[in-house]
Amino acid sequence: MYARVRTASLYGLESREVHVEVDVGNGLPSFSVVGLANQSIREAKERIHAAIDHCGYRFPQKRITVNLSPANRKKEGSHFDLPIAAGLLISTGQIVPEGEALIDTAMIGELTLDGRLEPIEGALPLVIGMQRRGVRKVVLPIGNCREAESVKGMVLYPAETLLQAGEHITGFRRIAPVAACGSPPNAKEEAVPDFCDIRGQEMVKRAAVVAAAGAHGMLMVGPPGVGKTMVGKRIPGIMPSLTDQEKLDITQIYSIAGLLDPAMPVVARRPFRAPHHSLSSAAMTGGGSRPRPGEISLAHHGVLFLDELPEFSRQTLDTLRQPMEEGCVTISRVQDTLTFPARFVLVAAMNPCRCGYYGDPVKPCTCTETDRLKYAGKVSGPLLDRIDLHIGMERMVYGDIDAEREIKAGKSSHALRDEVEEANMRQKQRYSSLSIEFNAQLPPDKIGTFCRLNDSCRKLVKDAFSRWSLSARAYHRLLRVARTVADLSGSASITEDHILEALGYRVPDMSRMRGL
Amino acid sequence: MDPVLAYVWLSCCSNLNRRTKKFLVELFNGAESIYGSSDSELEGCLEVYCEDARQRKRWGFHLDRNLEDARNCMTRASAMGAWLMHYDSPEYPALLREIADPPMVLYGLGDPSLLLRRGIAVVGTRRASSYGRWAAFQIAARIAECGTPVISGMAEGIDAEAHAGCLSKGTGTIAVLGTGIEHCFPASNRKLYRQIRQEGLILSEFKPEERGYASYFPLRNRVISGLSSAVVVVEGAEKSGSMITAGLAAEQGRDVFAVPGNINQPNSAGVNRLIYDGAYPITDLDTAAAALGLSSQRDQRLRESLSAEEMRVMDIVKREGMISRESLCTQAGIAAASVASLVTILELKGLLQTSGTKIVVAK
Repeated sequence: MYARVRTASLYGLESREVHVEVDVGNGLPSFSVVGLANQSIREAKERIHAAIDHCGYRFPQKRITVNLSPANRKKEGSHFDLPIAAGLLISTGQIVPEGEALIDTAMIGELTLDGRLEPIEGALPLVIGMQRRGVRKVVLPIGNCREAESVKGMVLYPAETLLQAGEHITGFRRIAPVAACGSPPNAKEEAVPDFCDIRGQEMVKRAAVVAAAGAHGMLMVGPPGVGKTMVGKRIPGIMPSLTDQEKLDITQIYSIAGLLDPAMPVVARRPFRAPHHSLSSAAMTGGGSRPRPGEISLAHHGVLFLDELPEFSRQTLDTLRQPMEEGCVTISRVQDTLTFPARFVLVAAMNPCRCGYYGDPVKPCTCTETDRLKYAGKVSGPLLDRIDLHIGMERMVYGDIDAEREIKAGKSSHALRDEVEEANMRQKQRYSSLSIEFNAQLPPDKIGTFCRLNDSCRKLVKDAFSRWSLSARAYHRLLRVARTVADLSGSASITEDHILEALGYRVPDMSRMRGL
Repeated sequence: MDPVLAYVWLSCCSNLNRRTKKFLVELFNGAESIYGSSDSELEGCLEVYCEDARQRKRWGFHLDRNLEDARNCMTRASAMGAWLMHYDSPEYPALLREIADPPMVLYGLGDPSLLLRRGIAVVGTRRASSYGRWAAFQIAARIAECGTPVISGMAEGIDAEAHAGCLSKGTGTIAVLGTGIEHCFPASNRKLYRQIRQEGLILSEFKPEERGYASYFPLRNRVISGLSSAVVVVEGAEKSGSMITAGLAAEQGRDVFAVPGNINQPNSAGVNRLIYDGAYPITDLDTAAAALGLSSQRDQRLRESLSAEEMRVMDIVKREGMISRESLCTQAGIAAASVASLVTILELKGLLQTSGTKIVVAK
């Protein structure tokens, strides 16, 4: 006998339709799964056998063939347990679906040995894909129900056990449907660290505002303890609030990575990822034998913070190039090419030299000139060239000057975020017909249109160019940053002041240190 | 008699060479007296000059007193809006008067006041490399920044770049032609000719309608170096016009500067030899500017043009010696965004120098 159950499989974030076909026929008892199923699916037999027994059904001692169609694509995931088990029970007549119950219903879920349905990873993207294909109903583990509520128009049937699912299919005891409302559950916005915690450091705070407003990458160079990590942590807090779609995007990624909190399975604030510099390229991008979202995808719509930038391996840093340019990462495998989104704001930090104290007003630097240049050279030119804002930080010296004047606490994150959101609004208007959102994403061919310069600005840029031997890429960076600075000051056109400030964020010339 | 006419007549006399003319003018105290004197009187005075003796013996000494040619030149000049300056007039450049063989008359189009300022010549080959062009432009621009005019010959190649570099900084440039002022040679520099006529000064010692002869160009080169306080040779082959200019400059007691070039390039063989022979090598723009006596003027001009906020930043940096942008922010009480733009503009003006977070006053 034959049965067919609808389910889906994940390829990166994309979910594709899979039909589980179960055929039970005469012959020596065997159980084989075909259709390029991976190891975890082939192990399903043991789980299904035990689960079926526990639920009071009977595992047939016949020749069982399970086909996951289409047969030419690899399948993986533990969520095939339920559809295979259901298919098996239907094909042996132990469950008779009521009417056309299964036509537009899909099933996903992992089974435990005692027949319970375990929540799976990637439920959200799976269900999103189903909704796009017109599958209206899905039977899923109760632990994944909350997650899937964000998908508008779906009717969810959360089941706790295989038995419950079975009884629902036969119509004997229907599971109460949960209508997905379409918006992510309201997560209380957790407290994010605030900028007013940082005293002084007005220059880097301003740079942070520019970075957040235009989604520009930023590199902070300064001695240990000056506050680089503190600043990095506070940047997500001044970026504009997430839209519903963005929350959905991030939640999908975290769902696949298995990082969602079951109690509140939605990511409602901008991620801040700070991987240690010993991480591998695979961990950064998401490659490896089993492609999963890497740090860059986990930082999607948020901040990727790389502390001690020179300590990262060249290879690892090199992998950042594609995502920084295209906003996604493509992982190629023999059978498939997977694409994970990875649009993040890169915030990096490093010391000025190996000992960390070059330029410090008090502590002497113990590095030779060669050491220093070598250390600076550890970060590749191409990567530095892709970072829009370069800012140096110094330790505050509390000497006589500051005895009279107490350093006031700066503006709060709330106030800074207001500035950022205003600038953001201008960008939204400007790019409404394009697929980009922020000034930092402007491709070179559009820069001419949106970053027009008047004659005096052009002359200024020309002067700067000859004085500092800037490159063409530096020119584009300059215009993008100037555009953001102009947006922050509420100006429709770029003026000389904006260009001058943007020039202040250029890559510093580390070689000409004569006399300093 | 109109002194201008007298000098124009004198300049048109082909029997006498320029040294002789200068000698006579000094002796007779002006061209009018020369015109008024008889041939025998003049011959008597010229016995001192052996060089002319052979010529005299060959042609017989007679100066044609016909003024038609001279009047013609004057008419043609005024027809195109040019002015004339003669050897004895107060506006005649002092430096030029001192050379052994100065022009008796200068025809000019443009601003004569440029001649009152100290000028520096930038000359070089017609067949310039891209490096040579860049160097000529940059050096000329640097000179022009202080308000010092650049003098050159409006030839293609180095000369053209030098004129362009000077004009780019808003300072008038002086072009000394190897033809009469009516002609633009080479024709490819027509646009430059027009620009210099408007924003600078075009000079020629030749009759306005005179086309160029090969011999006129070395003659013109002596005027270029004669007008300048220093001569910069950018690129030139061993036996080139630029080397002649350098030689003349040395004779006239002017400082000669040369831009070193690749040793495998024929065009740089001349300049490299100049350096070998003692010309000052230009290794970077700032030291060269100092050697040319320029920086002080430039800083003066720049400092006068600063805004109140810029002055405040400069004062604080001078007081502290070395300071970071952050401290500037605190001490000056200016917002971070403004500090960034103020420091950058002062850097571009060459008054500050930064490295990493450190800011110092530029030397």
